[in-house]
Amino acid sequence: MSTDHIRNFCIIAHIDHGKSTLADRLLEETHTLSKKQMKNQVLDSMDLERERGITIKSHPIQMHYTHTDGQDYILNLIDTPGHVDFSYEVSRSLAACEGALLLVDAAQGVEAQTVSNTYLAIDSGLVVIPVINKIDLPSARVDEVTDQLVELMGCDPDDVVLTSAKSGAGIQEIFNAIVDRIPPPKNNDNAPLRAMIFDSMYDNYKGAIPYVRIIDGVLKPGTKARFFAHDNVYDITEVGHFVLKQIKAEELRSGDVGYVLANIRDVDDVRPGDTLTTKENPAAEPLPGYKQMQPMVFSGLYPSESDDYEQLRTALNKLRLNDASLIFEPETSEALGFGFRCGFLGLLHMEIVQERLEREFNLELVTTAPNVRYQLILRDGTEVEVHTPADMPETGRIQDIKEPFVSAEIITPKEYIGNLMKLCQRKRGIYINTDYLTKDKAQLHYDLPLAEIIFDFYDKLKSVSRGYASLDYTFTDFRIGDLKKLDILINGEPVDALSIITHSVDAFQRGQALCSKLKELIPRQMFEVPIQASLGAKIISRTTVKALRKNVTAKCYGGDITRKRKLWEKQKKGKKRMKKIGKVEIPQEALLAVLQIGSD
Amino acid sequence: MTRAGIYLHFPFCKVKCIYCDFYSIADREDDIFRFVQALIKEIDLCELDTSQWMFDTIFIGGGTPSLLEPIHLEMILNALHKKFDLSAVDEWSLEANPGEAPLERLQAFRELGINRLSIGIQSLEPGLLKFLTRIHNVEQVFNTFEHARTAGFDNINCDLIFNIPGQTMDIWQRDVKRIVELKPEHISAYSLTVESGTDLNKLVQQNKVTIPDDDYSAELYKWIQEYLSSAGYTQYEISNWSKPGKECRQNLHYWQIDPYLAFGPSAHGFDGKNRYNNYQGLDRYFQLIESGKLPIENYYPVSQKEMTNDLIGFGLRTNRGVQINRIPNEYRIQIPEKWSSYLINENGWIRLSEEGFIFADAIVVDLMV
Repeated sequence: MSTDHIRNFCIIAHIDHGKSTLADRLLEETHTLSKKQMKNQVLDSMDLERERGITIKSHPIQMHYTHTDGQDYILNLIDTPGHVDFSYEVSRSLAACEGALLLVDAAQGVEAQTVSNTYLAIDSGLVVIPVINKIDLPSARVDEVTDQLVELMGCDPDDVVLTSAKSGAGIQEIFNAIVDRIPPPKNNDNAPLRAMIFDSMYDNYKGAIPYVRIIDGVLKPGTKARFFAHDNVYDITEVGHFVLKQIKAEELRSGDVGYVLANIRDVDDVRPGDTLTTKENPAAEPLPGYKQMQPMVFSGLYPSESDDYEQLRTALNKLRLNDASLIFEPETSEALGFGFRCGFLGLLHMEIVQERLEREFNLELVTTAPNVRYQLILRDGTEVEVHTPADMPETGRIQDIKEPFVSAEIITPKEYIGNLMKLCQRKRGIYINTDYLTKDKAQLHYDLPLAEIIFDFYDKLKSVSRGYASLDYTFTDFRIGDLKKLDILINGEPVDALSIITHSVDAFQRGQALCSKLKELIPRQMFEVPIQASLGAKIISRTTVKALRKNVTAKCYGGDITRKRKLWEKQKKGKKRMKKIGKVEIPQEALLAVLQIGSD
Repeated sequence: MTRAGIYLHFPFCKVKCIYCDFYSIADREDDIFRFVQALIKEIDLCELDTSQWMFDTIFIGGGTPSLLEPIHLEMILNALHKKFDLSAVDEWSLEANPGEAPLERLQAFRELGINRLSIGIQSLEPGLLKFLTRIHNVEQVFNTFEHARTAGFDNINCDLIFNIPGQTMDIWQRDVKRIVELKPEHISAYSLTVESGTDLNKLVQQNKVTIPDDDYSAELYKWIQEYLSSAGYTQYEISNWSKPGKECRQNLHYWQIDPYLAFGPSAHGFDGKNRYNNYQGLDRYFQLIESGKLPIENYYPVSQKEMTNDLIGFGLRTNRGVQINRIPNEYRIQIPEKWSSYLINENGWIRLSEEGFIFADAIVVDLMV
């Protein structure tokens, strides 16, 4: 089919605004699959994706569509992850399209992530078609949401398509808009091959499989694949399209979306954003926009049962095959034993990895409170990067600590502006400006330390806005901050896993919170146990777990002594999981409670 | 011959106390005779091989067994005599509540051979008795004790409870002293514990009642340890004190992991290898026995490891401790450094020091195999 009859597009939508339902409807209307084959929300293939109503991976799918004028079209829908953690992947998916459907829930209106992805799409030169979904909801506010879209995109109210993906209303208008308003890809078949990798998957038999959009040239089996991000060369054995499974094709031409089989064993060789060309006739320049992905959030993952360490390593390796943005290195903690320090794109990414490890690999995990990466400038002039507070050099050697900042936008009904500004202030935010999407809906811009965002910002944001405000952010730069390493000492011994890096202003309060939480959780020992928080040599908070006075139950058990024995056996089992810090025995649960909450 | 005991459970009470988690029921007194008949039948149905045992103790607990008519007790004892060789039994215990054991009945019990009486006194403070939903008053405590002496009981136990909300150190000391003045042969002091399924538990869950903390209960406990010791009582178990030779040997059977038979709803027994327990509900108990079946709910072997842990755990709660040569060969008791000053290893026994008693649970957990 000529490139004139190809349309490559994606759907931009906030969680729960109906993206998957709309995708399902398009697949059904184009007979890509029958009603019978249709499982709800076909595109989200992981259980986790379906459950959470989010897309983690980009799924391309090809549809054959006969337009009202009788002409046949190929519509490639490239489903994109909706979450800020995956914004780089979103940008790569956008780069594979000429157009985007901007799907907004008629009751919820425009939300922060929608805004940033819309601008990303407009900046990438895509034609954006605004679509209001769920117009049949009783709470639908079509006029108001139309106003928001007009304000957001500067479009004409008539450009807005109204639909209910659920009932099917307005679906034909969406097809019309895709065919009439999204331009076909340019035909560059004669240029040397440049295929943009926008995602990949790993198959145990076929290796890493790049998902590509051909920008220039023709991709054929039998040629040798070359990449710009590294020097490894692979023999291309098969190319094809995705319908619901991989459908083999003779070639992929410019404008096509498809997959490439080249028996690539190393997942690192297929990096989203990289350009694939051929060894025989290489392109001179890669496509623009490739970035090496940098994990922003780090946390320690430890098996609850130390015997599971090797299993955890295997599981992480397997996950990484499908998720090159996950990084990990072995880490030992006095308190938690052997585990891994893992780097994630963001909090959601972290949660997803953790959940997949627990579900798909049946592991019980201990996850330490997340922290960001820090750049340190030492007094001797050297620069080091630190991914865990435990690695922080002693205070005397540190000249400056730099922490990552993000540019954040918060969309909110205007009545919560005051609360949100107070929150941002408290979280060390730097105010940039306020825009109004409509007279009732505002967009606040702040620069914020990422560390504050991953601490508890999101929960607080939701609570001060009664759930109405939404947040999006992108990493901007590292900035020097008045940051300190806060150590926790139990019975005089520093506990590596409990150290945190905190802003000076918060140090006292966080030290106190950690100490009193620990006091609550550490069982009484045969001796008094001081718990202290320190900044360098300075103790800023102190509390004491009093010595145990009594541990015996003077109860009448009668002839039924088995219950008591079972209780002892249970305690014995719990003690096996006890961690020893110096002479102090601490139940694992106590450490976890402190580590996991990041001490509120 | 292995020394063994027999336990009989009499589940009837006039009122169920809020803290009690033994099986007992109120408002079923009309069923007492039916129960006695069932109990006799259960004794008769017993299939355990007791030929290698020598019974030396019998304990009738509850519930409130002092509600039994002497004629009923006689029928039960006759059934036991008919089934087992009781010639070596020299401790015949029965539990009584103050105000629920008139003199004539006590005299009749004594004549039937009961020679040890355990009186559920719990407290001498009216407000605390009320809180515990006990139905007796302080005067009845002294009357019942006196009646027991008059009836000829020379081995009497007084049960006391400490750590009751509102129980000050003064009240506790006064009560213990007044009891000691009565010169009972045996005193049990139990800490009020909140057991699931009790009304007390509900009250605690609803924050209507707060149990004093462990530090406070340690004070009360330490005081009674010292006081009873100075009054000539030996603490032979965590909660039990006696004059020399007046230990409750039925209870010692439980703690030394000796065999004991058990009859009555919810009763727990041990045949030396297997533990078993009867169904709890009275009606189910009736229905099974009256159709000729044993009312046993569970009967299961005790593994070597469990047996070892029973020996260690309950042995350490007594002043004799654990006899090392009773521990199966594949296990050893290891004493961690942190507890070495609380344990005494002497003449083949390991026992807790006086200071060790108060940490018994923590120590047991570390010594278990």
